Amino acid sequence: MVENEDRIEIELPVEKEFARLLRLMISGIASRMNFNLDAVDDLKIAVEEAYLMAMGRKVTGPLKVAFTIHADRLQIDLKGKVAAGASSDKAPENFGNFILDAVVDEMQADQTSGEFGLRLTKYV
Amino acid sequence: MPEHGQNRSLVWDRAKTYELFARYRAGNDPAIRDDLVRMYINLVEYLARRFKSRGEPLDDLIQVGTIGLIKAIDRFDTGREVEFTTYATPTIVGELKRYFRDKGWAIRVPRRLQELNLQVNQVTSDLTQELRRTPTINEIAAKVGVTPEEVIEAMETSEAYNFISLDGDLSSESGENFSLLEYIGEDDKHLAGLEDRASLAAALKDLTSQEQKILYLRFFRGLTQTEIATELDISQMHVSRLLRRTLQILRQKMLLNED
Repeated sequence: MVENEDRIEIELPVEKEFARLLRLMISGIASRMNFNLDAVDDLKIAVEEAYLMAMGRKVTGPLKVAFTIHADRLQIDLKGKVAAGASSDKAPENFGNFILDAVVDEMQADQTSGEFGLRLTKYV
Repeated sequence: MPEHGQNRSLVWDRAKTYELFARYRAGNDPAIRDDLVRMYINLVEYLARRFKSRGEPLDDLIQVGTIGLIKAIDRFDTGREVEFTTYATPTIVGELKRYFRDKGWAIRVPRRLQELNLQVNQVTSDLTQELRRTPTINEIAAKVGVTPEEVIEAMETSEAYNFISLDGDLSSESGENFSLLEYIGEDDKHLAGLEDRASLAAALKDLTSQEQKILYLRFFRGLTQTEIATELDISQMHVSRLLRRTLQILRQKMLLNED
């Protein structure tokens, strides 16, 4: 890869109170990248929503969140293991997708069973 | 960090505890109660420290927690097979929580942040007008004269605390009544992801008409928060706050509807 990119990674427990930590973190990263205020707020909504989605999917153990800073965009990857046989609620999941769709430019879910994976991209 | 008690570890002499309680119950001697307070003050410190991030001085919290400890000492029934710490912990935590609740905030906001919050709010709307676009956090920070991190902290503060009741629902005062459901068509493509209208309708009932309007403008019409702020004549931060609250309510409702 020729592109020069910075990558920030964090692993955190899947517990509701840590959503705020992600909000603060992404605020810092996004403002460094000179996203405007509206975009920063969109990103805050996005990470919180994605995090709650991971909770809804009953991700066990730590959730790995990686922020990759490209020249023109911020990419957020969330990864975690899903408990065997865990089922997720359909309605909140759809709601989450609906919100995410409105606040980021691209969204890609990992469909592998036993895994929770979500990639969100927003352009500066 | 000042030393408040002698006992720094969270281990207590059980036999001594029971002996002191027996003597206290026998004669109600306040000096013995003081001994018990001294003995367990480190439990109060330990619990109070867990509330430190909420912006109150630790010493104040320890004082409040000590009231909880005294209540626990007076009410503890030594006849029951329960450790005193097991009994005292919820009483002390309860006292601390009540303290924050009585202060009127879910969580106490330090004055510095309250003031910075107001300043950031003002500068944001000034800059939006001046630049004719949404400012960046760096621009706001430069104008206020603080670091971008401080601006972020101030903005996040406003979200964590419940200002909503103070701001009220502006639209209801103007007599306008906005209902999101009336604005979105039966076969709206945006709604495809939201499953059935019925559960959405139920969820929307808990939102004020202003909140419904913000939801509509942001997610169905695609306006930015700044544009919504201008349209409704409120601050961007207020839009952000209401939007967040709105999403939380809807999410909860969606979860309940599952069952």
